Amino acid sequence: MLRYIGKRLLNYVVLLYVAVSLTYFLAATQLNPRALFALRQPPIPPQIVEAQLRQYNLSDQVPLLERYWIWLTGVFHGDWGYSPLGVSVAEQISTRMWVSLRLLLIGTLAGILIGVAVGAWTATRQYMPSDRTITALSLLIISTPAFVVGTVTQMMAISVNNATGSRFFEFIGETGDVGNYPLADLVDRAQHLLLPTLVLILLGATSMSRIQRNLMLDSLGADFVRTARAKGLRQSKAVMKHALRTALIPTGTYLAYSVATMFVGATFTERIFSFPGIGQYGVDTITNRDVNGVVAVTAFAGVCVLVGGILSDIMVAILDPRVRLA
Amino acid sequence: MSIQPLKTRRTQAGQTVLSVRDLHVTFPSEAGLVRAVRGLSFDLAAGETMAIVGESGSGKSVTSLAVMGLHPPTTRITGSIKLHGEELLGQNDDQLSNLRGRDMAMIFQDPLSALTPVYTVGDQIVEAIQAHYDVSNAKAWQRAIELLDLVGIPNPQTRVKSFPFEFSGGMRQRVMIAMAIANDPDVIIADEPTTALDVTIQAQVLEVLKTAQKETGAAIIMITHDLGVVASMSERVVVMYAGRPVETGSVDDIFYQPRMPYTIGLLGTVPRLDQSTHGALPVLEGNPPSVVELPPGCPFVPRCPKAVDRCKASEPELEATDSPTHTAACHRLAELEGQGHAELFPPPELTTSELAELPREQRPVVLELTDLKRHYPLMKGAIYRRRVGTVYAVDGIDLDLRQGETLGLVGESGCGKSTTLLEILNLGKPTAGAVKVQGRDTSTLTRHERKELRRNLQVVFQDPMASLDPRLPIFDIIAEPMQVHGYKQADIELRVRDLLRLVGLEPGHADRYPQHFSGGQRQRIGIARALSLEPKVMVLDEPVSALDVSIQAGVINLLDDLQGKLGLSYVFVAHDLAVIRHIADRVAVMYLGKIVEIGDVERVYNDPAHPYTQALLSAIPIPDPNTERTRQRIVLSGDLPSPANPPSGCKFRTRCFRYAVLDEASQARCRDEVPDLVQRVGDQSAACHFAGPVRADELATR
Amino acid sequence: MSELVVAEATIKPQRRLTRGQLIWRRFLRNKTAVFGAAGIIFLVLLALLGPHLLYWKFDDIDTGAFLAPPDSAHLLGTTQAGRDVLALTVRGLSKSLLIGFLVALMSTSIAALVGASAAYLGGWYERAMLWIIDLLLVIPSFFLIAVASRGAPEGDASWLILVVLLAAFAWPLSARVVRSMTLSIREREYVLAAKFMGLSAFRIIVRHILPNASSLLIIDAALGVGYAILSETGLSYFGFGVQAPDTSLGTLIGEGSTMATTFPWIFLGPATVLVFLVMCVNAVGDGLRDALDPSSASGGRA
Repeated sequence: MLRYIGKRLLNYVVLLYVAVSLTYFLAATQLNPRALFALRQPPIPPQIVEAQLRQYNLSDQVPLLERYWIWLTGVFHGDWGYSPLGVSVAEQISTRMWVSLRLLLIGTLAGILIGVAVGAWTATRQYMPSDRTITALSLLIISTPAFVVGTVTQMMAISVNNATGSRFFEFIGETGDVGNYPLADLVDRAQHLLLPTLVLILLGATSMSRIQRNLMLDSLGADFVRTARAKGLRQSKAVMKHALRTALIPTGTYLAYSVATMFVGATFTERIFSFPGIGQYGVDTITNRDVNGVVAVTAFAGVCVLVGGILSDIMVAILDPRVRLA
Repeated sequence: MSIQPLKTRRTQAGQTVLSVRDLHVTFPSEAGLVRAVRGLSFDLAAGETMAIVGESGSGKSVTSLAVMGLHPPTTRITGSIKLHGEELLGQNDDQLSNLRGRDMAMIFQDPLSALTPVYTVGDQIVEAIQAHYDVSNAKAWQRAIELLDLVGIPNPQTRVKSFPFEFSGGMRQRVMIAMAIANDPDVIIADEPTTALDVTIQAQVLEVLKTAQKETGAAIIMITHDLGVVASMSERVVVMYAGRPVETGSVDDIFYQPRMPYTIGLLGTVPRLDQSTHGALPVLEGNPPSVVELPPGCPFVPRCPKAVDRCKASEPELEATDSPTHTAACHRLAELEGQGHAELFPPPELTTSELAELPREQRPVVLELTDLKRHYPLMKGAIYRRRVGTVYAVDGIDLDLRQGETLGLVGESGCGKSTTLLEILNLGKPTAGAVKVQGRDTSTLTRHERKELRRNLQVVFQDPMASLDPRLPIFDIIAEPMQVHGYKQADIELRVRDLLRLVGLEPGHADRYPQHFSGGQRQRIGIARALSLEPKVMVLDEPVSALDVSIQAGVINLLDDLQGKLGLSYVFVAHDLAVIRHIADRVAVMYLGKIVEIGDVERVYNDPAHPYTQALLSAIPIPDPNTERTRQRIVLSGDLPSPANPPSGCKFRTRCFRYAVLDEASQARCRDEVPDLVQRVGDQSAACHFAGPVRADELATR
Repeated sequence: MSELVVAEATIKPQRRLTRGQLIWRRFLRNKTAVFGAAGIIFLVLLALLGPHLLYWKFDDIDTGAFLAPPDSAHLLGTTQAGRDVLALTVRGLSKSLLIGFLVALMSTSIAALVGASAAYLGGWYERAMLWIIDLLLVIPSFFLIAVASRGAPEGDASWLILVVLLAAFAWPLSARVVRSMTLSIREREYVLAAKFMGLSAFRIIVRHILPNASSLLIIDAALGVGYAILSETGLSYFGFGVQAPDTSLGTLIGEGSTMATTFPWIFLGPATVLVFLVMCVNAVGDGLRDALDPSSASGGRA
């Protein structure tokens, strides 16, 4: 068994290596960091631009493969390079990672849990008014891009703030003006987290509830639920113990996957609520023609995806005896 | 094996335990309102077994769900269902839940999907007990182990902790039975409990069901389409057609004095395992009607040779016949007394070819297999797939097929008969050995030669729903092989019409799609397609087993007739040994990738020499209650071993009843020495060191 | 024989609803889906006819009205640059519609061909295709498309490059689904029968496998439209998608959301249209899925 897991891990590493290398070639040829210096006033002498680009291994006058090799040897020594303006990429990622985690952990987990509950509940009430209402609502939310949900939430929060004359809802950054009372720091952070977390819960719960509802509908019609009923179990117990338990197997894999990939999943929310997290960083690196930054973010994302894949395999094995014992 | 009952019975033997009156079940569907059951009444006495027989759409399964109260919520049920005199219709779900699993239990058809995959079988049995009785965990688990022991699960102490997927189909059905009898129900409804199982496993499960009934004294409602199972299991019978009971009575009444033309036809069209019936079978023409838009009158009218105007006007009620317990629903009951199926449904004329006159040895060999082997890698693991061994699917078989003859290939699932077919049809290179079609070794063919050779070798598949592309009109379906092989368009047009006529379909229907045809008609389309390239050899893979009983005879007759007309040779694969006896000239019995017995069909059936053939023939219930009552059945123990890990020496020895009574030296021979096919008298060979008829002492030990 | 023939031939094939009729009926019964279909037709008409009916063109600049709130001259107000928000929204709508449908069509076609051929042919080809699919799924496509579109040549056709990029990253998941569906269709008896009659692999895929996977493909394409529109607007929101002077709903929303609290009309107009559009597309997708494939509720994207 260990040999096969090892083989699979090796395949993952190769996959990641190829994907990241391709990203490097793409970014290095498309982003053109030299353009950053072109419009400066007063103009910067070309030699100085060239020197700075060379310093950070970004000059398009150096052959691509040579740049790639320098970058690759750096990576093997833990050096992910610098932005054209000289900011360390690795430092950025390691600090922003925790910002993302603080922002996303509660929202992601709560979103999935609420989504599972809502999805399972609506499935048992298929075609009843409650199911129809929630299904229609979920169609609306699933069709609304995160950047619209975020902006609308902000607009509503401001009108509430204005109407009540308070500043209860905070929507810029991680912290703001910290008051002078016990635990003020914590309260302030919670206030800033409230809105983005609500947005994340809404979006996460909606998509999860749709998935869970469908899984549950499949499992409700299964023969073994009928067997459970034929044994004398009440509908609710047959559903909870047999249908839901079986329908949770794919959900478990999804959960494992989402937790691993959540760091890179909330670009829009981070942007709107000005959280300097990984997603926001990814966008900034592209805007700022930061080749090394782009590659590092995608590599980070790739690692998350692969860890998510492994975690979900483990989760299936935990939840499904057929996989565990076969 | 006896276990303590959990309660005392409320109904004494002989008293009515379940009483159904004028049951009507209706539910909506896309096509319209389905009137699935229309006026069913019966009384079930404590401890008796009653069969409800019918073809698909007759309403028998809907009845079982209605009695259990497990129908979908959109279903409308009227009439009366009384258990112990207590009305069930109108009770709320809580009240019904108290009865389900305690007073009445159900066994479903498909044991693969009826158990929850994520709980152990012990969990599921304990749950059934604790749903009704306040029993401690330890006691409930103890009872679960006793129940598993009762239904014949080996090592119940350890197996109780196993998950359903760790059991074979037959074992899972035993678990279902254990679960059903866990609370000593008064009524057990078994809905086609053995349909998904192989015959030797079916025999085991039916025995278990009988044991379970003896232990618990429960009454059983046996829902089935298999008349053999009815004859072997039940005391009383209700025959259903298009949602109506059309005949009821004791099993002897139904089998020996059927009065309703449908019952008469049904009994007559089934080929018999115990009778040599060559020639045409009586045919019950047409198809069962759809119960969505039933015209007024008797629903059997379109298929009934005795129908008169009155039958079209009003639907007949059940009336008493010679005895008050034997009722039938037919306007012309009085005239039908003593009429057999031969008078009502005369068999059609079949073409016989001149080839049949020629002795077998003088006809050319059209297909030859020599020491054919096909091995597959055995993969394991749901996530980390890896090779863990080899499946010896076909492990060295020899046979030949001569022009104009039919070779039956029989055996249970996993015996390698389907793999053998695919090896023949692939026209490729087997793992070892050779396939020769008309003298050409298929392993040496070029691509072009292979395509040309395909014209001589065509196939008809089992499932008429799956074997025709639903997206193409039947003209295109039949024309496609001819287009690929370069027939001229004008010829194709003509030939499709001819072929449709040949298989008994209207040429004008060529522009319709497969879903407009019934199962039997689709199978005819499949046959027309196979015939389009004028093949010499037809491979028939269970061509009638997916069809309703009353439809099978027509397709069998057609195949018989075509063989006579066109001089075709058939390889006919079936698990139904009665069909093989009827249609085949020779038969080969397969077990775990080997042929264990081969020869002339009459010889093999009348005087089987291999213990497996003997067990197989013995396992099949015969639609004749008297025969069933006196027959002594050989019930094989255990399941088919895995073809990845077959026993040494004789592959059958692990389940062999003869091996069990041999002395140590002879047993060693079976263990160490692979038996060869040895010719016996005439055209019959068996691969057994101790081939010969069954002896009394072999049965006595069981 | 004669009796055999007559008897069965006289029985007409049973009268029942064709598959098409059943699907149509099921779809019509789904009110949400019918509403969605009507909404799409309305939006398509708006996108086609709007530019001809409206007074303002999308690139007109009304020097008399910068950041003007909605009034009779500008029904949805104007932007910072004095452009009419309604005209811009209609323009953005037509871009988003065009991109959405083109991307869905392309990605479903690629998915169908790759998925079906991988499953049917098997062997090293299948392994290679699966590896490429995994490769495309490892890295968030959003970043890659953004990077690639930054370096893409500018001009009128730049949105076509965006279409290709979106399609190039949208197919892998669908291809996996098509592959697993093909694996089951491949084992069906009519495919085996075709093989044993001597049909070539290509003919079997095109004539027997893909038509029988058509339900899946239609559903995939329908849901893919919504997915593509959301991807495109998301990219445009950050300025990586459709480039100025052209515009898309995402560009407009991105521009509007920075001022949404003070000048809400720039944001609200395009946002409402976008949400309505995606909702209609998803409603039709869901409706098609329920109508075409009532057995499996969990197929396709959620």
